Amino acid sequence: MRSAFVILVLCLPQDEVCDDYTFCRRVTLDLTGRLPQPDEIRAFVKSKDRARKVEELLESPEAALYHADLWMQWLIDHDFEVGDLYRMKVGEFHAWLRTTFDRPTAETVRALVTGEGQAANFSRKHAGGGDPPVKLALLNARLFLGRDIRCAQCHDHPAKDLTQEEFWGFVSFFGRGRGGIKDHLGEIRAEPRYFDGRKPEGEPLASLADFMDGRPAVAERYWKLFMGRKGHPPSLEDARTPKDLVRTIVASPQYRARRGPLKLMNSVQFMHAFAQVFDLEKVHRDMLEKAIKNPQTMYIFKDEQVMRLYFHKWAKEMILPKGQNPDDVQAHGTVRLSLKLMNNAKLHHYFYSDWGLLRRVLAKRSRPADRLDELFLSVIGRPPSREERELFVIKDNQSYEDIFWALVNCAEFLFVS
Amino acid sequence: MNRRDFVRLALGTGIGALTSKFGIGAQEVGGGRAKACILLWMAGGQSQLDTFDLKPGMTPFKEIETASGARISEGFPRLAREMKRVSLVRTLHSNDPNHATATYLLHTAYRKAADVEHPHAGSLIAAELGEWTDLPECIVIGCDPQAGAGYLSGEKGPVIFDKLEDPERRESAAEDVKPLLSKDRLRKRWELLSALDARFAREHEGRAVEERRRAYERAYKVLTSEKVKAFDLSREDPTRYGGTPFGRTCLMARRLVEAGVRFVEVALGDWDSHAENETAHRRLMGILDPAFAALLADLAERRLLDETLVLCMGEMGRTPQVNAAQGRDHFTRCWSVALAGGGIAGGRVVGETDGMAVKERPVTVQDLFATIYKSFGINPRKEHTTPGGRPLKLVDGGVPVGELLA
Repeated sequence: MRSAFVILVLCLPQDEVCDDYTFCRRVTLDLTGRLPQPDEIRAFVKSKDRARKVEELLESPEAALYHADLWMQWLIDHDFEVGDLYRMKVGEFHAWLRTTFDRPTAETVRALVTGEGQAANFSRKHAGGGDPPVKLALLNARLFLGRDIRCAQCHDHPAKDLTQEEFWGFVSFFGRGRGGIKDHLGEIRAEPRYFDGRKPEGEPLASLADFMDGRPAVAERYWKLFMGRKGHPPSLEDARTPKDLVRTIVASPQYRARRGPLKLMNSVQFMHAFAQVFDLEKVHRDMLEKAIKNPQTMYIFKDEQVMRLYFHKWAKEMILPKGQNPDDVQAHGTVRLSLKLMNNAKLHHYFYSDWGLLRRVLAKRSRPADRLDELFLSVIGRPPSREERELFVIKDNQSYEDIFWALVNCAEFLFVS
Repeated sequence: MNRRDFVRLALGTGIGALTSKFGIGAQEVGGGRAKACILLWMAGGQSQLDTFDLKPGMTPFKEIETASGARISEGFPRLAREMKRVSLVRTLHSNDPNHATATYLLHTAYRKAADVEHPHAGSLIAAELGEWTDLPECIVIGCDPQAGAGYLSGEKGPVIFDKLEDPERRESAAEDVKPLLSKDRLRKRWELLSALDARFAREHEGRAVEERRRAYERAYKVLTSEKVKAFDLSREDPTRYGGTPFGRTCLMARRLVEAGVRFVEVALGDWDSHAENETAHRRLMGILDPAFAALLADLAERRLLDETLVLCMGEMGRTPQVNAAQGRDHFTRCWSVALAGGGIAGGRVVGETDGMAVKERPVTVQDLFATIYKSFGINPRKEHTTPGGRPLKLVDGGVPVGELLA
């Protein structure tokens, strides 16, 4: 009996890979943040060349754009006011972030820690006012050391091996040039300290940048983003640039497995998917027309990046429970999002309007079976199964609306599997 | 345990006491009478000196006598007649003059911290008292309460709807729940969706898939429930509530509470009068007065007021000094809150100020929230454990204001 079990286990395919449709959707969403188009899917399924597909996506400008969107989200954190965005010069900052996709991660991290050039916009966002730069320190620790040091702000943290004293020593690195900071005892601290109590040698921030390698934390962040779980293989830390890192993860057997990562779209992916399904360009134009009449919101729309970030913020609020930090929770959708996608009149107007995806599909194909294929491919990246073809009967134009609605609301749309 | 289970258990064990207007009493802890709450959120910070705590020479508004003897602004002629039901706290104070963080404080009883997200009080109350309706348990209309599900699970967070707009415009708070489709067509779509989801669930299981399913099932329950009519005001006459969008939202809040929603927050914005304070306050009091008064009278007529706590408050007060733009700025040394119904004794005034600061009986934000939880029979010292394993009390410190409790 036992040997039969062993034989059975040995006979199971050890690295069964996912099918072509799943791979195409997974890799397009993970590398560019957007859904694959039906024509791209068909071409890929015909060629089956996975390595080429990956290179094609990595070289597309969309990959760098998605990378910048992700870093923007990590760096500006989840709460911002419009004033923050203008102070950060988000347009220029985003353009700089795009260039870092193919530059050494260590250099980018160094620039962000020390606040060189465009990277200074990061510290500018988080170290405003007269408060100690706690937020900037927390983010630096989280992003580049992979350490969550929040608890030690108020008390020693035995489990994390960090004292309150050490916390404030670390925060002091970011209060340089302003005569130190006030710590938890209200005392001025001008002397930054590493977590182990050592003093930095030379210029503190430059010295801190030497101390913070950044690559292990960035590798873990990407691994978690792609795989939906922690625990990156140490070899990922050798990847020179974010692009190399992404390429390595995507090539791993874990990523290509049939039951690969299952995760809800992140907010950037949701923003793009939403824009594709609802033809966002038109939605924007519609919003812009209204905004021009309202001087209070007008200035949000003046800058393209600011507008995108606002849309991103909206997408995040839809997909994450309110007020949650994406680093802390795995989002699973909210009642608010479900109600909106199922039953929001304005969205449904966009759904079915002349320039919505549905109308485009209907205009492009004429046979009902082709239309059904095109709808499935556009929204969930695969053609309907035989059973689904029987179930999704097309009687009239309303049938297409019903099918489209079901596709946009189904779990398969919202998850990256 | 959902409401139906509770009813079954209550009937089964013979402890069911179907005495309440709402059908079944919630779990009783310490004898609170409130079963639901309507929060009228005065976003931006109302000027205490022009509304509920007038001082001669410091406000352009006259004081008027009320049914309870408490003197309030002439901007509230209708509310004055309902004041026997209302108590005032005039000495609420904090030290947070920032809108966003103060709003968070006045929704959670906690200062915003980097290390933990605290839940909206309405979500906590609903979680403590258990499921009660097909509708969302905590609904916010017309503002960003800054607080969400916090350390509770995602689907327990407040469901936030946009501000109710002019009746002529199609957009409204109820937008997402107003049936777009016939029941048959929605059911048909739900069947297609269920088929897709069943296939997906066969391939992928786990908590994420499960939680998304729960959110969708709750949404479908909302859309197909008879109770969704609570959002529909077409058969109501909003004139009594002043006929304004805010008045209509208050009327909606009453209907939602009747339908079993635990916590409804309705916002009236624009109190942040850094310029032209008098004009702004005259206009806003004109909106608040009929809506607040009608809400109290309506709840009382329906014998709902005893079980519905009504709160009217904002995140801060406004300065006694008038600035160069004839406005008042942020002020946190003392401001006023109005409370009624739900186990709150009416007609009382707690605390005294001299217009500049507290003279007697200061009340902290924690005291206020301890009072709110107490009115529901919830122990404010009760601890929850965050997903990170940290124990947190509903309210850290604070003593219920005994003078307010009936």
